[in-house]
Amino acid sequence: MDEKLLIKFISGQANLKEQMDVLAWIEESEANKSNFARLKNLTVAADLVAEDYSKKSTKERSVVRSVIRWSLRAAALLVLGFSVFNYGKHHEKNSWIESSKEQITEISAPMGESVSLTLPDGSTVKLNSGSTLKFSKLFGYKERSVSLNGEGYFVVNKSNKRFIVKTSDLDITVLGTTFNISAYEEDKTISASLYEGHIAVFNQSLSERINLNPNDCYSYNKTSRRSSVKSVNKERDWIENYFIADSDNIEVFARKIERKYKVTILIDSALTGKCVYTGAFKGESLKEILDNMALASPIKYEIKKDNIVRIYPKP
Amino acid sequence: MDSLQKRIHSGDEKALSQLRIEWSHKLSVFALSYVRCSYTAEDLVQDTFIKLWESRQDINKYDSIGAFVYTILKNKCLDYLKHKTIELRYNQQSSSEYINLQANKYALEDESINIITDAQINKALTDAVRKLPRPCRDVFIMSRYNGLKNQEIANELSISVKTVEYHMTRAIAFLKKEMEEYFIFLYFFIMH
Repeated sequence: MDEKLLIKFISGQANLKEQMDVLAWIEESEANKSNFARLKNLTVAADLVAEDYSKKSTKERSVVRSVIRWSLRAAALLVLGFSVFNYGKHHEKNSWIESSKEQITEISAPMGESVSLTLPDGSTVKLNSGSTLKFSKLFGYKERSVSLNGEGYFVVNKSNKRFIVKTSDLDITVLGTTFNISAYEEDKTISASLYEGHIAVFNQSLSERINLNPNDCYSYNKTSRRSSVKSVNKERDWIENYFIADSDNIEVFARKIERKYKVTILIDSALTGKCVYTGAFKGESLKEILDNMALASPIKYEIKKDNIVRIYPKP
Repeated sequence: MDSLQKRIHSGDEKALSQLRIEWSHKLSVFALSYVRCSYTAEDLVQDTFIKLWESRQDINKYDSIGAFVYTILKNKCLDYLKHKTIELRYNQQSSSEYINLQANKYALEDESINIITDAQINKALTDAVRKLPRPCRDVFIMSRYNGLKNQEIANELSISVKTVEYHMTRAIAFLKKEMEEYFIFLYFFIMH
């Protein structure tokens, strides 16, 4: 194994075939594993040292800045809308940990309002009501990535660093410099439509990666777990019927369901404080929401007569 | 023992804030190098400070704060990589992401990871980077710090991509050689 190739691999410059060859070589023997590990770890250690060194030397930084070609024209438009249902752990947080918000910036648009913000690279995002955008302080370091729950309208600046929008099922990477994407949620479907340029959609659940060309619309149905690429439709209207959960514990979430669907929910006491839900729902039936809960968290439910629902822990 | 270490051990919250200010960025860079996702890197770094605070009574067992912090972070990165690679493999992912994460997992499991946690080794490495001959050093820093592709570096320095690759190889080989002499005195060494 050529050391040059290993260095290429570690530097992220190897193509897929080369990567496969390197991994195969690594897994051939413990000695190979060790050799690779030493080189990788040395490189990371040197990275950390190079950082310190770079901070001290401003000359290096200006050399680097001139390489990054910026264009502040509105280069791209990206709109995504979808329904995301997450199961989250409930952390006990001490007061000092609140400053962890320095590390990850989280911006939410409250119900009924939209919020506009500018990202560190100058790109702008308009968040529709009930949506949340997150990005870490490493945004722009090697790539520009944000995490979106809800609907956002993006104007992305041109840069050498790729721009990625992550959602629970899809990762959308901006490849081209000018593109227009519109995507909206329809029940359990997430879709991304492209009007000009090129984007790559990576669907984690199906392990597929599709490059979209203009007038393609990629659609993914979370329930049937099927995806398709069709011709793009006219934009749909946002449905009024909206229902949001934001890190709600199970009792709070259940109360929202009760109000919306006119049922009574009985929760087994073993579940108190155990599950936290975040999501946005439009037009789902009661059963669809409960099915979603059962998929995302360790619960089972029973719908009984007189509009009573029982929720208990999965055995 | 470092006074910051003493203060953390005695439960001084201001010391913790100071620690976070000093170490967050480096820890994020470390985590990102192995987990390849900024979100995950940030989460792991946050969890590391929480864990550090919860186990502060153990801080005296370590030579330096760096060793303590990096050890916790390394273990968290490793746990993450173990789960993620299994998840990717289950989904029949023979992709770039799986390959890189799997390789990084092997790297974290190897003893040579201590190169990062040991303060003395780090000092030797710093001196070695300073010693790098000029074009190699520029290429090395542009590639490592800014994640520029070889073509971009080539354009900036008006040299060919092949020359860039040559400089990178030379830089790493140089650092390896510099560190080798150092390592002979320690419990492990980097082989050719």
